[in-house]
Amino acid sequence: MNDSALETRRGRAARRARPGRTWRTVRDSRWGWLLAVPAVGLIGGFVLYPALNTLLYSFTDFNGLTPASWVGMRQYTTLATDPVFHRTLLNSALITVVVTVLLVCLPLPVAYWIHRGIPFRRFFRTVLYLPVVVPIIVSSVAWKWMLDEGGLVNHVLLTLGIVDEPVSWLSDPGWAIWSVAGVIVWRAFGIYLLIYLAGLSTLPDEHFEAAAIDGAGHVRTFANIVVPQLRGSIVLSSVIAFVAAMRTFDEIYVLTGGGPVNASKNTAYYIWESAFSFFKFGYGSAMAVVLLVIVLGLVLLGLRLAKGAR
Amino acid sequence: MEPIQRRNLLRGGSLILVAGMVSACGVFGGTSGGTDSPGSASGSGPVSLEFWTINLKEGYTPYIEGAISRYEQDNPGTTIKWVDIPDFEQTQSKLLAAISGGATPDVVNMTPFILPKFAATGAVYSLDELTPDTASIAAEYNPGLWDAGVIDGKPYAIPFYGSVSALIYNTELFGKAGLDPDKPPANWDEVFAAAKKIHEKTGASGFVQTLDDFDDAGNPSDILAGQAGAPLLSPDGKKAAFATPEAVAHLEQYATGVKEGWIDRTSVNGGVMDGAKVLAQGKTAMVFLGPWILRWLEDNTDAETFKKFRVAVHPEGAGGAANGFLQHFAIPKASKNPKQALDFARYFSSTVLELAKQAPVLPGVESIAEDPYFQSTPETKVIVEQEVKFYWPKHPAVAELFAALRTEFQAALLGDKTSEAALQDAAREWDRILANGQ
Repeated sequence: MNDSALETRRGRAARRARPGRTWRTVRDSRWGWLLAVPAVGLIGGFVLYPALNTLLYSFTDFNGLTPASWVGMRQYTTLATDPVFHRTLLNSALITVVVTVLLVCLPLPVAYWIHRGIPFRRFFRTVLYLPVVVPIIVSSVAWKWMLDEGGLVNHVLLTLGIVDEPVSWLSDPGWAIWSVAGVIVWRAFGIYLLIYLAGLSTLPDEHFEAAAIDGAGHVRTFANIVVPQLRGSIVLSSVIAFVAAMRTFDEIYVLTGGGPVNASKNTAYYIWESAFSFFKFGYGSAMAVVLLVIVLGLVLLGLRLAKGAR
Repeated sequence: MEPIQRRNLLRGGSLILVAGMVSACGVFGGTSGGTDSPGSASGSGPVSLEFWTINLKEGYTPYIEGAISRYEQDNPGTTIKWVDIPDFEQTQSKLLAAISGGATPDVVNMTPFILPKFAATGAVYSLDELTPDTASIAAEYNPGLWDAGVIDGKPYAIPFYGSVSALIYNTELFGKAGLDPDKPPANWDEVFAAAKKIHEKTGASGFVQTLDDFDDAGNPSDILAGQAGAPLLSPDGKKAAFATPEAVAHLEQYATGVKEGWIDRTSVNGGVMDGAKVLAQGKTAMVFLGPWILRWLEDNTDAETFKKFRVAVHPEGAGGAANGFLQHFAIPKASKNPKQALDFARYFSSTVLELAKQAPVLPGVESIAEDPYFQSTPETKVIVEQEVKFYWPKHPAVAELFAALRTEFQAALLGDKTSEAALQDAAREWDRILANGQ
């Protein structure tokens, strides 16, 4: 322990010994707590209370209409043998992997491209961000029409000779889930673009100038300057994209309804269906708890890996 | 410093995650609507009734407000607060939230999709609890629509209006296929034959029959019970009974049709309006929907296209009656004036002629269907000229039962399973759901 640390401790002890200071500390502390009350109240009322309720209801057979009965672990043992739940977990994983990878990787070079001062950069930035401000329900309905067998997407593909016959984007089990993932990526692309643009704006120009003097091209600068320096933005994007993808609901609801044959039904959709369509709130709560544990576990693991790689 | 920041981040993140997931499930809470004995507010001072309808504000406000105004004039001291829920799926969650918050409406427009659950849990009154006269009240209503609200022998709802499945077809495609537009298919063998011919001659599909929840859009209960004549449940209601050879053969026709293209693929994963859209675009020749869809077709196609569409009675199936879907009124247990609420519900169902003149619907009150207006147009004629039957199982788990059936139907239509295996798997799933009860 060095001297300055000891001095500091002594100084603190001396300040604590002075009565006026102690009262001020207490008074300040009270004000601090008082000012925190609204936030604590909001978090407690709108986050903690529902969360604990969800956990509690996962041990009951609550149906939303009659008082709940305690059923212990029954909802969880049912989940263990429910093939639809297993399918939704797989679908959640597929959607999440594809969406997270694409949303973390694709906007980064585009952001760099825009940041380097391409012509019409404002135009590109606006156009790429536009899907974010369109209500999800509106954009999903538009995509439903475009992905229809007789819709715009097939029309373009047929006209260009890329396909010989219309693709059943939404009614073919092999395509439905990827169509949903594609729409999610299209809609959320702008958010991640903004995160990366914000990150790029904090990088000193000297780095880019030094790279240019050293003869590094765009690709090398991107790989050796941008990617390492934006590690924080990349980790943040990964966490946000991962959590958002695991919770995907609106696009599935509008585009496929989870079908056909549960091919695009994810766990978030199944939670909603169980609770609000089947009135099985206890079962839906158990699924929500399982999903929470999975998401939290994977986020923690991801952050640990990210720290280890640093 | 850094580990602390990360821990805080994770704590905050975890809370947000919990909140997000919980928000997917809504706020869990609430109890039953209460079991107080029904009160009688008639003539005992000012009465205020809250009245919920489903998606009637747009286009029907003058009708609703006019009818409410007349009731208020005829019943001094009674005021009606009208609340319109934009779509039927929201009715369910809003009603749950209202019951949880103890602020339930007095009269609520329900669908048969949710009534059994509310009845089974005691959240709505059996009409027997409010009046000793249910037999004479029942006699006023269309038997098929009244029966839809009778669960385990007790009536729980007053029919408002119904929708009867009819055949809507494109005369131009019929003509191009060499079929007589004046002689639309009268039974399902003729439907399949016409569909094959239309596809062969024009390239368009013969028909769309989507597998979604609405009966008048041709959901699986219609295909099994209405068209193939298979009973959905065993007589005691505890087992699935639809996996009959007739049902397997009928479903096989659908699977073949989708595979060969004479049944539109939209049938597999589309909804009511998806089917209507395919008809409007001239990509299919027939749909089986309530004549109300003509209003949508008129609004969404040009005059020349709209002229091509014609309506006919629903093709006769082995079930012997056309599919019916309906809206009815139930009285939540938490109503403070349930008897007055019942009186208002009966009154409102008697005003449907005015509604029918704006949209072709089948009145719940049988005598209204005898009004000459219903003979004035083809679409109103088909509504009252068909016998209506409600083929759905009136079970609290009806949504779960249909979800299981729909999934297996999709597997059959996509060729993932044989029709026989799909129906047997669906029957096993129904048995499991029925055994668990709700």
